[in-house]
Amino acid sequence: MTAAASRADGDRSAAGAPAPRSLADLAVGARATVLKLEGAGVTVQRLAEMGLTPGVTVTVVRFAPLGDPVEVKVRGYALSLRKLDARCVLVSPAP
Amino acid sequence: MSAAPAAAPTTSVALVGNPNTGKTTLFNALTGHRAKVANYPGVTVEKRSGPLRALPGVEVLDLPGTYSLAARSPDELVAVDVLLGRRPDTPRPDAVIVVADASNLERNLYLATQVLEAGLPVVVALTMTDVARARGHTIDVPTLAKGLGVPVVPLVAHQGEGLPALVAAVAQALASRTPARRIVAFPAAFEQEVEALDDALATSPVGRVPAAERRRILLDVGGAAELRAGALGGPAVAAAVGAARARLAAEGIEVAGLEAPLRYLALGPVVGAAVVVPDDPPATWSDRIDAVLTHRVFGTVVFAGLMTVVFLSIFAWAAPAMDWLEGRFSALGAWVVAEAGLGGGALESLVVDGVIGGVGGILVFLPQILVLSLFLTILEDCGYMARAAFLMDRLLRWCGLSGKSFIPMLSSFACAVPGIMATRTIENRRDRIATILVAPLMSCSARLPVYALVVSAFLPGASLGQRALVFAAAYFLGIVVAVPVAFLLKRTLLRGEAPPFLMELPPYKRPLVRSVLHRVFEQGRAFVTRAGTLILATSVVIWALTWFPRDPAIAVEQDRAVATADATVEAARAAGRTGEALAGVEAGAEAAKAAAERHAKGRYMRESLLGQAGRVVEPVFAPIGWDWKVSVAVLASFPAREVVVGVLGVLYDLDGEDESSDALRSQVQTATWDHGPREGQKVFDLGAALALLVFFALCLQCVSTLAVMRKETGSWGWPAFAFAYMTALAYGGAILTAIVTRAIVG
Repeated sequence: MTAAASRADGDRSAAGAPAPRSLADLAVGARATVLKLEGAGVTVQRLAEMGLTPGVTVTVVRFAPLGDPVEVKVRGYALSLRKLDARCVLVSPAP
Repeated sequence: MSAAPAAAPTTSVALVGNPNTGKTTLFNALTGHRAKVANYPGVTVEKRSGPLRALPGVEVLDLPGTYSLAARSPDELVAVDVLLGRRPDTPRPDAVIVVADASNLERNLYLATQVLEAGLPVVVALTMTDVARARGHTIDVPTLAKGLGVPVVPLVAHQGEGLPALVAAVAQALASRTPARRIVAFPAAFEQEVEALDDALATSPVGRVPAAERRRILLDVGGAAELRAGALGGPAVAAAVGAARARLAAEGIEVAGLEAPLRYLALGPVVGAAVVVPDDPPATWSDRIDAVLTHRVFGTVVFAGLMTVVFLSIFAWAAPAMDWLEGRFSALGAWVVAEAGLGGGALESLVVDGVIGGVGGILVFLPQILVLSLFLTILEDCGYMARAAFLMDRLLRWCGLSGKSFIPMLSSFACAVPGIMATRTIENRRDRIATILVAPLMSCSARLPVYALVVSAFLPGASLGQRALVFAAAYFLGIVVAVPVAFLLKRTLLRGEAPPFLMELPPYKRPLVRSVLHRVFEQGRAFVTRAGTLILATSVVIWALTWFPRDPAIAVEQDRAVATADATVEAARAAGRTGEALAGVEAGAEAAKAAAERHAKGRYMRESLLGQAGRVVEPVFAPIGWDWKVSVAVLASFPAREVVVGVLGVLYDLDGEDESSDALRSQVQTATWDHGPREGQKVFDLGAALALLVFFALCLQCVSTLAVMRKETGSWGWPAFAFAYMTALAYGGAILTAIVTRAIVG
């Protein structure tokens, strides 16, 4: 992908599609608000216990060198989660 | 409502908190490093307790670190059961200290809100207050205490500040016995169902259980509390729980997503009123370190470099100490023979070969275990362990494990014992057991002498490059096999619901020297005492099997040879020989005596119970092409695989038991079958030699590993399974290797 194409891609996501996206789709540095959690009961419960509850703000800090897991900042601490689980966290771009 | 305490009525205080909060440091400070370690029966959780130094008669009970009381496994249920007095082996604590990281209060206090509902007096201890201050957080402690409704005591663990205040608060809590009040309100409909469930349970085999447990049964869908109630109470209880959840769902209350948002909602104003966090937090040095250590390129380079250094230093640092210990043990054996006056019989052999040889052979690994524990404890305490798991998770998920399995597996290349101990950081029980089961497949340092023996002695005519290649292949065979084994285990025996892999990346911090050294010492002691007793027992059994029966004819024959040799010297003296001529005769006589002793040793071994067993099992190993001598060596090396080198030495009638000895090399290369259809044929063709390599790369001939597995998994079932599957792999692998090699070489 060229630099121009990747920027265009970035612009599109920054515009914020109305459809909710998941935490796994965010780029490094992006801030978002958790809308809801979807998925198996145990996953939803564990994610929420670690502080990913609706209304909370998350920031994507980095991805691991192999592309997964992702590190996010939530409620003032650093949490690592796999993209697979991050897809259960639906978010909207933070104001 | 709680079970009667089983032990003497002592007062006890439970310590509860998230992982990485300095809970263990606080435990050590309160008890003065005097922990009593045991296991909760039936689970893999360690039970640590110790006397509270400042309050005589009060015991501190360190509960396993957890983020929440929502238990998904019997292991996680231990904390809930202890707090509610539901474990017959542990009296219910009289008060609880909740340890909370001051720099990360909101998430830490989540657990506190659950503990407040257990019906016990609670004191909150704030750790890491220095970290919070460095980040610009200001905490209004009285306001926080008011919001939580319980005393809050800030601590600086490194300096021991705040400890007297904490002890005073605990003493007061114990005196007043006022239970903490709940600060999270659940919907009224939910509380009605909690009450209704009491009636349903009371009339079932489950009986009456505390309201806090009933809440857990309803809230944790498929969780440990629900499963236990269902298993005990049968379909009626399961139906009652299902019906209660269905009634709530009809009112718009989904239990699965109910609890966490309510708790965080209640905590918001409490934390908000007490803690001021800067809008634009300064980038801490921890953040800056992380930018490098988890960087796509530098992070990987640093990680690879660090792991290489750790790995090499295990060998470089531990080797001198291991050599020294080995020397001490053989010196001790020699001293017993020379000085203790045990008469040279069975007793002396039992002490020298059985006890000193067997236990010494295992204790030699202690330096390696200590060096490795030191590295792992430092990496863990400074916070790097979580980063290693973050970096490696993608790789290990490939075989169904998580990043947390990486360090235990790497450690197992030195020795599976510390590797298996290091699996304690894996919260998921199935991942942890899978890691414990494959860890012994890694080529530990005890396998190296076996590889060296085979490569140097059993591969005639191979070039140096070919030998190196064979050695490397043997070394990496285990990890290649481990991938499909772990994959299969996670899909068969250890299949089950996969909880998400969520891991906190704690801020970096400087490890406390005292705490690190204490834990290294504890691991060393656990190895020596727990593994040591079992090793002693097996060593003695194996010794007895190689000693009995003692055919006196062999001794007679040896005595005759010695007498003949002595007579030759006497005859030479009588003939008036002196100087060089006499010295030559004496040297010849000494050599003859040594040869007679070696020959006797070999015959004793041959005719011992183990030797006979070797002949019995010979047919089992016949497809591989091993004769009874190799069979005996395989049986004798059950306590520790490197023993095979020495046993082969004895059986091939050799003095030197060193793996590099030229004598053993030539002896082994020319060894032929001494009976049976292949009599006269060479035993060690290339197939049989490579098969020996494969067998010892894959087998679990190591009592220390079995003992540690038993301790860490809490039962003999898993070590027995590991031994069975690895022996099957080793045997199958050896046959396959022999057949394929013979097919290729012809």
